[in-house]
Amino acid sequence: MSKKWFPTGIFKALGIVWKNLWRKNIVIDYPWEKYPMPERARWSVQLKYDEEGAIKCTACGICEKTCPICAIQIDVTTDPETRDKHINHWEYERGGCMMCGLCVESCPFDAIYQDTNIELAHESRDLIRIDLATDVDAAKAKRAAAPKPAAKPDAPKPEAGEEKPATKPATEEGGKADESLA
Amino acid sequence: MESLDQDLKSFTLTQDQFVGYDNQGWLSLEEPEGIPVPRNLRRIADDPNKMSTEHFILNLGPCHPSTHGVLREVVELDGENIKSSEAHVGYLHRGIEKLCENSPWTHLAPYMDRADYAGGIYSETALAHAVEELGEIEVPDRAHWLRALMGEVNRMASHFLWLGPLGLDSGAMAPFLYMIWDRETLLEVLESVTGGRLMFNYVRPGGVLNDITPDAEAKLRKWLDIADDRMQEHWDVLMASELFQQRVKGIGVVSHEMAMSMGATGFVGRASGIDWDLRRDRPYGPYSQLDFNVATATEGDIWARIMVRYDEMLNSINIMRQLLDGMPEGPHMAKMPRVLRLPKGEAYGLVEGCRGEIGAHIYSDGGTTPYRVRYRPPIQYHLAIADTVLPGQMLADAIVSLASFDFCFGEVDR
Amino acid sequence: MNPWLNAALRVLACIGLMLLNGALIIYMLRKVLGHMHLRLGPTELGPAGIIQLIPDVVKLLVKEDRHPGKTDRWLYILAPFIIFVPALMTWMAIPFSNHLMAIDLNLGVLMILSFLTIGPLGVFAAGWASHNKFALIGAMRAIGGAITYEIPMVLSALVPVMLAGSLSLKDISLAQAGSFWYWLPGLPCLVIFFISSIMETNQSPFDMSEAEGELVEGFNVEYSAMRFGFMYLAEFANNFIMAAIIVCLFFGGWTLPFVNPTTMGWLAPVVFLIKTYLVIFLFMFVRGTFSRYRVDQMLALGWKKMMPIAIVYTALVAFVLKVIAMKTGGGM
Repeated sequence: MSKKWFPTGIFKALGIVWKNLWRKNIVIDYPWEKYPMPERARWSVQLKYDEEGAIKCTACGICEKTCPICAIQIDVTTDPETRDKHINHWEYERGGCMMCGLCVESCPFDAIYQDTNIELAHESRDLIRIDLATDVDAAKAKRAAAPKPAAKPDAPKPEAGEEKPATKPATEEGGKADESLA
Repeated sequence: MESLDQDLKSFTLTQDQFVGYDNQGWLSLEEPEGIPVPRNLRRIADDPNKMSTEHFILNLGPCHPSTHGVLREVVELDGENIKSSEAHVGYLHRGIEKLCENSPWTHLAPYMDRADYAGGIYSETALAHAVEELGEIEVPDRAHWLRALMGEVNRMASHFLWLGPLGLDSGAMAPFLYMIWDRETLLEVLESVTGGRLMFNYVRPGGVLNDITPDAEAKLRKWLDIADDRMQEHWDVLMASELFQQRVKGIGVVSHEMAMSMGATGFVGRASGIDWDLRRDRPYGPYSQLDFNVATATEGDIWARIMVRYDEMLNSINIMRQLLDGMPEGPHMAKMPRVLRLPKGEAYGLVEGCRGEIGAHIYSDGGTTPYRVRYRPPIQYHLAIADTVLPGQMLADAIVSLASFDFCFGEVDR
Repeated sequence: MNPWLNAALRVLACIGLMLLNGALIIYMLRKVLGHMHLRLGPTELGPAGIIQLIPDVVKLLVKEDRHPGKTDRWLYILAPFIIFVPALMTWMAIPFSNHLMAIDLNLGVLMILSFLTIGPLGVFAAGWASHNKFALIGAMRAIGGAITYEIPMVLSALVPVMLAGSLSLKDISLAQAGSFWYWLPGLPCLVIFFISSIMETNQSPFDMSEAEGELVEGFNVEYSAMRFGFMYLAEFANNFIMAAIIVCLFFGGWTLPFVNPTTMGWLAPVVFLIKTYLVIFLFMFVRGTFSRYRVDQMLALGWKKMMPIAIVYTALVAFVLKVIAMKTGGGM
């Protein structure tokens, strides 16, 4: 440890701070201007809808089983004759979700995605556990599975009624699942 | 439950049983009613023949602003001097290793993120290495390079989160915010590639989830262009200042013997003269093809740790440039079966993480889920070392030397 | 005018100035530190957030005045005032211009420095009464620090006093009007006084008693609501006082070179305030940059470096002045 008789380093530090005092601020003035979220950012889970506005979820329950913290619970009634599934509640616990994206990856029908909306704070506790779909008929597995090869290209198709296109992980994972099935 | 071990209380007490750690009142070593005095504290008795001051016990943490997470460091103070100390852990215990036993092999990455929450890529990679070793999965070259690239980005981001708060703990406000600026850029890169800022869920057995995007690559290259200037600026604003140097030089010395015997790895070990870096000495992925140095120091004090890590950061910038330039083409994910079944056996994957040697020891009973996962957190070993070097320091130094070990309590408590 | 009314008005003016100064420094602190740290500071209320202070004060006033259980009740209540009142008293002797001051004291420097000595006692009272270990350590540090910085501070204040031949801040300011400002002949003393001022005002490289890194908030950790507000206000008042003394002692008070100091009119307080806030800016500049001293390093700096330099330099100046006085035939 060499001892200097005059501390030059502290003036260096002052100089840097002086330089930064006149530098443009890097902070975003949040509520007024927002940081553009990357396309792949994973936030809360949303359902996808097809062109007619019908739900793409077939209520197979794979996401429910995959979710490590049971944030997804699908209450399904199955018609005993036709085997058609009816979704009573597609419940999603936003407060518990850790946004890992495993449900989206595991979905074989490309029926859910994660949006990039970061503003998840709510005034009411009731909004933490929400129904993404209530009392709708689930899509038939065949109908949803048929256009799946079309979903393989990188450019995601726009969804009716949703401003965000499908996220990339979902399509890729869909493609991956394809390969492994083949 | 008087026989309950004090250390286990933080795991087991429910809210109404919890007495609280009262820093009011309790000014002597006498055990007041209702408030447990830590049993294991090595109370240093004063020489009765000398004039002396009364010692008292101070709880640093678990909600002290400078203990980096939820470390509770119970120190016995003689005025400002620490006589003995005892670290209490377990406030962030979530049972990650146990939770892993219920998840398929390919779904373990989220848990690994939450273990080392500032350097998630590395813990994911360690686990992926173990799974690939046991399952004999061939990983594409590009996946290895992407892992390394994202890992180095994460290493830089994590180191900024260490160096800035280290300055903050010693009282310097400005460097922290300048470093957070750089960290933010790197996190944006990570977010646009992996989808998460801290919890990446990116490195999977067999490869990585996503390929790098041109946007992210451009952003990273843009930052790498100014990175050397930024590092010089960080040097000038924090480390060049004599006021900071006199706070860190010769403080918190970890001797070579102590580092060897207590399992120090990573920068703590290198600062104490253990010349060991897994990237160089047991190269995995692309590291055998890269050109970088590993800095070591022999002093073992906080300054040595800062020097070692600063050099590591400069090398990291270098490595990132090389990785971006030499990135091979190809798929980023091996062909994986839908449901991964590993043969019976065990494997140990290890990487040089942000804080040291991160290891994941997996044990498979032939099923789709692990039979047991053991996560080797480097910081837990460093915590033991930190606890040993605290006595003899002053209270202010204790905070800085605790900060210099870069604790990340998701790792220790798991 | 009724002398009682007169006196009451003067005190009220000081309180008003103190509050105004508090408001200004809080805004300045947020903005200056914010921009140094590449942040924005307050932006929402009013243009560039200038009325942010009002909701802050309202918040302090309406907050629950929590009274922790094990405190020494009366001392706990009294301590903010022990800190606040001396800070207020010091405003009496600050000369904003030739006429604009609460009291034209012959012993202005002495009075201010003695009142500032009471401040650490209040800090100690607060820390002791809080009955909290962090607060107690902070209080002990305040006392240890007070002895350390006050002796060099008083010694270095002696140099301008000797040069001007007066203890009145007004006379010292006036004496600098025709000649050099005293920062040049008293440069080592200026440095020592500046460092002591930072210690006195409890700011960042030397904020021993409230070091937020290790002591959370030190002596005021158990205080809340307006009791905390008083301490905060006193800190800012001290900030201004120390800057004002530096300006009076070393930078000529309200005077400007080549301007007659007695006929400056409204310009005088403006010049004085500009100088003072520049010094306060310097305080903030240092505060936002450096890492904190350890307490023993601060004591070592005070006892081993500042004190000898102050003593030697004061003696040197006294000697030189005596020699000059003997040469010119006058007595001191």
